[in-house]
Amino acid sequence: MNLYIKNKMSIFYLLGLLFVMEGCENFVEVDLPSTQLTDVAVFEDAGTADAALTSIYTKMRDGVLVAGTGVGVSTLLGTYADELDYSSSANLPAQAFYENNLLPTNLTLSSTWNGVYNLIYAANAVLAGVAASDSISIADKDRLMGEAYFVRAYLHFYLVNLYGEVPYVVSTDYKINAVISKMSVANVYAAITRDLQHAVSLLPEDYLSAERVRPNRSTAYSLLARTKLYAGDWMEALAYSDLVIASPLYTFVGDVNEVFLKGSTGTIWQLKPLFDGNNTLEAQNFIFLTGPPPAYSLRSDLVDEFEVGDLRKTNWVGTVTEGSSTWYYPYKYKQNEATGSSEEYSILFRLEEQYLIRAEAKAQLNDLDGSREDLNKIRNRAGLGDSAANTQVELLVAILKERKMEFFSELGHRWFDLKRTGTANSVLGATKIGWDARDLLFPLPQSELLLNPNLLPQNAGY
Amino acid sequence: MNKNSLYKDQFLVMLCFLCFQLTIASRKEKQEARSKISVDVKSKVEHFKVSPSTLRLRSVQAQLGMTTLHPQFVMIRYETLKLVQGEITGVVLNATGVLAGVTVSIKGSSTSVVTDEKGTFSIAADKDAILVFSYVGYNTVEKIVSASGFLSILLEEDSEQLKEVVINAGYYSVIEKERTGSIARVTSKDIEKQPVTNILAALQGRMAGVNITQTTGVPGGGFAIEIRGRNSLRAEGNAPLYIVDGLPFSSESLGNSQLSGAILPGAGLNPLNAINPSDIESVEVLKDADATAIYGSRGANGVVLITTKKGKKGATQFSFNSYTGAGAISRRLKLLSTPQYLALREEAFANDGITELPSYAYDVNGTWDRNRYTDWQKKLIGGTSITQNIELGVSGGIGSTQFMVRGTHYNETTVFPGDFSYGKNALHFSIVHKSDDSRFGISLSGLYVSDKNDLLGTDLTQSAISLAPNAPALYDENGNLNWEHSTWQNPLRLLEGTYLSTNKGLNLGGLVTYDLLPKLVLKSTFGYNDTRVSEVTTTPSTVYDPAYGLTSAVSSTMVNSGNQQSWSFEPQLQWTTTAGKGKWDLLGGFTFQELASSQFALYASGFSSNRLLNTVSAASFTQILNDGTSLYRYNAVFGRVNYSYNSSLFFNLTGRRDGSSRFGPSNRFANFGAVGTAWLFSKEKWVHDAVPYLSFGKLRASYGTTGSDQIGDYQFLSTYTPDGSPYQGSIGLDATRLFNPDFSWEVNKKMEVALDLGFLKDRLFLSTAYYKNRSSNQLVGIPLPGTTGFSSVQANLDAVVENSGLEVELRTVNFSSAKFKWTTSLNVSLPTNKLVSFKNLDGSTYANQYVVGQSLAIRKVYSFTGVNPTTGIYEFKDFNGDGLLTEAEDRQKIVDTSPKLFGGFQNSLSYKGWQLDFLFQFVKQLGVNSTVISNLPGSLGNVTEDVLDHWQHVGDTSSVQQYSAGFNDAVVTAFYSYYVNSDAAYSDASYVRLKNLSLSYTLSAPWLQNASCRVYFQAQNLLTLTKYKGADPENQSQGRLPTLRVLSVGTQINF
Repeated sequence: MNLYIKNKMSIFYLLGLLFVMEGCENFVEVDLPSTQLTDVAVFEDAGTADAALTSIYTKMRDGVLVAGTGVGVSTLLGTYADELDYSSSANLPAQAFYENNLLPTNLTLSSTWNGVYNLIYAANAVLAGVAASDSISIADKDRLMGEAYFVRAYLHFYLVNLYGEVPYVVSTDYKINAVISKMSVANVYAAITRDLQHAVSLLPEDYLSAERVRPNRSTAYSLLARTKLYAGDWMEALAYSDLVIASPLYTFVGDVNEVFLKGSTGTIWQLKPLFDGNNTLEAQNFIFLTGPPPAYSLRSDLVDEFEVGDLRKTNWVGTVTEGSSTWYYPYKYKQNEATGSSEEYSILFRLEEQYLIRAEAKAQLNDLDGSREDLNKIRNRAGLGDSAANTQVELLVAILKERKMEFFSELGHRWFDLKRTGTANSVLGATKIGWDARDLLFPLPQSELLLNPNLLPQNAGY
Repeated sequence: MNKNSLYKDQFLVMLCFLCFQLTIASRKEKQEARSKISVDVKSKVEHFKVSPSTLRLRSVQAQLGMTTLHPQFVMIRYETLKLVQGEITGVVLNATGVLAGVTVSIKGSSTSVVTDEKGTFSIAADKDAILVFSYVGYNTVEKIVSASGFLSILLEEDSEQLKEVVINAGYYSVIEKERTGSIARVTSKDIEKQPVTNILAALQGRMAGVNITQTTGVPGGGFAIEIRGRNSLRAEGNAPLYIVDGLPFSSESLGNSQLSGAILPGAGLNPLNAINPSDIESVEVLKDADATAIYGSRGANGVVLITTKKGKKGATQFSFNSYTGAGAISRRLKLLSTPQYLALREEAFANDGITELPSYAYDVNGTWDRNRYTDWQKKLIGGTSITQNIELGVSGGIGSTQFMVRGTHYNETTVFPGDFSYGKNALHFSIVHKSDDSRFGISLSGLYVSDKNDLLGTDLTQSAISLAPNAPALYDENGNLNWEHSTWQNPLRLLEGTYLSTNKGLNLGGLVTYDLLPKLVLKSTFGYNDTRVSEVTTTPSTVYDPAYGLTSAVSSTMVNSGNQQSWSFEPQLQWTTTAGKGKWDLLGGFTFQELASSQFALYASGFSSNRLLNTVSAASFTQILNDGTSLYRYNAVFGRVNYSYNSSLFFNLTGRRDGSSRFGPSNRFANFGAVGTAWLFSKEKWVHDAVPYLSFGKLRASYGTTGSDQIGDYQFLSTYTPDGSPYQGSIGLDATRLFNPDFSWEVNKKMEVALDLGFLKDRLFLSTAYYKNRSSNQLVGIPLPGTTGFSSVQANLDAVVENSGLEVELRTVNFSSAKFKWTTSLNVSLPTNKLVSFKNLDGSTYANQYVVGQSLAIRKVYSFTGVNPTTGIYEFKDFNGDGLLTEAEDRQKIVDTSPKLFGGFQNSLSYKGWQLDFLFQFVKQLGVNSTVISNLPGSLGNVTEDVLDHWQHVGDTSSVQQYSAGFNDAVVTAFYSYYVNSDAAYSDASYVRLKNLSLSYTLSAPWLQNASCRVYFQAQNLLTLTKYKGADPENQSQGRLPTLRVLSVGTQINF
């Protein structure tokens, strides 16, 4: 018995000893799990590099900045300006925007800021990774980098318009980015222009697929046109919008009911929903069936502003009536639940904007006839007659109003228009209780100023 | 799937119950027989002596006058009485049965023997020799050999003199009085008195230097533990190492906070739920370098050793224990009544200059009934939770083998409305065996716990304290959820969404020992742990306002499953030798450990019916939220050299070389070590002569280093992870983190000196320890501004954190007689936490978080100076005098929320069969109060009564500023930007809590024979004395359910 045990034990310990001798060094060296890839591996292959890029679009679609949810700019800026009413007792993120009462501690503000810079990091990582890769083809490299430049410009464009002076981040090095300083608005615009020009030179004109769900060269032109318009650089705004309108890829959609369908020929760039059969988050967010509205509704004064016979009022505005009360909601996107196959995608750039940019640039450059022609293109489609505006000033007012009626509840166009034309104070001061002058810029997030004092000072008034 | 596991659990319990009943039946017979034989044996001993060799079973039966007796039973009895001519023989007993392993020696000679497993011994001794019977934990008995004969010796347990107690120090055991390290201990005696389901709850207030807080009153929720303070700048880097029966136990949750975050704080599921408190024999907490350095890189935050119950030698014992309890929240907030609230709202609108109330001011504009009042705290979190617990156990030992099997069933409902509960079934077993020659030994123990937490998806506490008091009815007249025409978010919509988690944990621990030579032992521990967690959160379309007209097409389900398997193997060699008055104890060994874990989380949406929500395959869309695996490997060589001289001087040297897969190739290995020493000066003759009433005196000191590698796996690599969301049909890739390949271990240097003094035969025992720990090379996720794209990066910071403090423990035996006994113990900890240095703090992202010379638990806040009597608005100190309040310059007031003092005060009284124990837990601290989650006074939502003392007219002095409905920017900013970030949001959170009270009565009656029966009443968190402004001074987690007060009654039967 005793000997038997001894033998068994010896074997046991011998095995143990072998294990020990296998070497500590090897034992504690573990392989990367199959669920992660190193950054080097990601950029060895065009497919995985592409996946690193599309994750940016996914986040834009689902939750960051331009998402169709309650934390996207369509909702937040719609309530911040004079498009949407807010009517929830649940203190949703939009409430502080609706009351024009943003504080530096506002969590929606900081998550927007952090979310956008996270996407900028991802774009920069694609730029660095693809540039260093020696196994991706030149054509793929150009396209990937072109999209990354475009995305970087697009995200900074929103930042500079929301927060004013912001850092323009072009590196992935956290040591640089953690102490980065703000850049003047003019310099941010210059950097946006540079990135977009890179994008123009790299991106193909044709879409990668039939669905227009990836930015192409015209998308970069469209953003250049918008950037130049905001900067008051009319000549260039005119030139870039001309290029887009002239592109054979786009035809002006004649029927207002077809503008927001996924196959619309006027769409320049749209975000594809998560799954086939899904539709837009915008529709889920805005549409309601009974009153009073659970969260947001279109302001009745906006609805009242539609001219008689405006097809957009009848087709793009939803109505809920209970007793003597009537409420409205944005009804551009109509599918708030899944359908057999998707019918609507979230549109970020559409041709109508280019017409109105050109109209405004022409008016500014005193080409009044040309301007009126572009403006009427939009009006006529909505079932309205030609504009009665004659002078430059009248035309500019008419274009601003047309933008309001055309782009309501879309991506904060209204708020940016009020801000860039200097009319925000007079317009919103009259209609919004909580409005004051400091509200032209959002405050920089408190958490950010604490972590990086180089971002001081805070925007005036906060 | 869940149903199946439920059946399995029930089956297990039923099986236990069946075994139990069967054995009761057969037991009765045996019991009778045994009592008879033990009576008879004494009188018939002479017979045995006459002719032992001729004894035959039949004759025994005949002589004892028995006709029906189990043959085996008689054989055993016969063997116990087998005698050797000319020697002294006998049996040693304790209160419950025979006692094996008792040393029987002859005074003044080196001869000694040990009692065998039947408690018997035989020793050759002269007449008039003195036999000494000694056994650890028992009073030593001396007996003069008067005549050769059979001796029956009864040893009494020595409960007061703890110095003979053997303490588990992990890789080795030490006798309490000889230990050089700092080890705190709680045994089953105290654990059993508390109706709790998490072992950490049972330790609260009982150990000096160990600060435990419960983070929520929701069943299955978490506890935070800090042993001797915060060492790491990372809040999550302060968890101790848990070792269960020799096997490292991962305290990292496999839960997914996306699923559980709204109901359970932190990572949700608490892994320690997988250890059933009543299966635990003892918990030892290792604190200083001497005790923890042998755990090297994992010992920085202390080590919690959990030892489960083992079978005891002797007759088979059955135990049954059951209790039922009722719980309710321990504290509530005082909120405004409807008239008070409406007056506040109206005044707020008037202050803001708003005459026409906005359409969405439903509470005041008449949309909601202005006469309605609901006590939302009562309605939403004011229920009674029912706790039930049943335990069954069998233990015993025959020969050199002992076993134990225990089963526990526990169930607890919640204080929320609706039918929710937390249930747990546990099975615990242990087998210990030694070979006949006692050279080979093996022990195996296993814990299997299956728990199920069926909860609502969201904690209702926040709704309960913030809903307007005149908010609408929860249900309409038809019994449906009332949405009051979309004017409110009915809190009970949250009951529609559920959270269900199941957790199955198997923990197997084994130990094999083999005596190569009499003093040389080869041993090895091995262990295996398997944990499987699954969580399901459902969000049916019915949680949304019907105004959206949503159908089950938007309903969604999130599913998470986590698996973790770990094994460890630790071969060791132990050698003990003596040289003159010195004694050497040497230990060396290796550790191999691997921990593989995987998590898989899925989001599914688009169901054809809400009934199908638990069937992910019925979803139209699924999206993978997390699909991660990780592997951690750990390898070490460790050793211990212990030398004692004359049993009065002790030196203990421990060391470890560690390798961990969590670090990059250049930083993979590191060394740790410690030296400890103790001097038992009461053994010195001159001390004894000088201070005769000093019964025990020991001075000890230790110094050494430990480390921490708690940072997660693969952090040194730059990687991409699939983001789970397809774009154009293919899944995107996300940069996982910012990376830094060069980080390495956090190092913690620990120093301690301690003095233990016992007076009057240890009736008064005082332990005092002073420690100073310095943690450097801080391994942190350095917070980064958003412009970097991430919130942090892993790196070592050149910063030093110091924890120092004084721990005092006092035990007194106030009264001790055969009938009445009263003991008291007090432990007090006075910790200090300090950031000693931080290179370039001002230029770092921590500049506004920490201050050199201050604790890590500080907040830099605005200094609240009061309400301006003219404007009626809060004012704060403008530190730099620039006329503006700015974040960086004016948040200069420092508030320290670290505990200043904490401890426990326990009394144990017993009189005849009565036993009363009560424990007060106390903490002195500042804490964040309910202000931080409060609504702006005047906005929609209830507030606490203290806002009534507010400013109304110029010249008023008040504690609260003017009300505002949210339209006065200055008032809103003063509140949300400054007030909640000022020292006004921090206030005294000290408390004294009657943590536990236990009263029991043990029946004693002749008819009980060997059985015992105890009935008891237990209460947890019975009483709280505090000035705290908020619900619970313990968790201070605003918006989370306060800890519960639980009262229970139960019965325990052993036979």
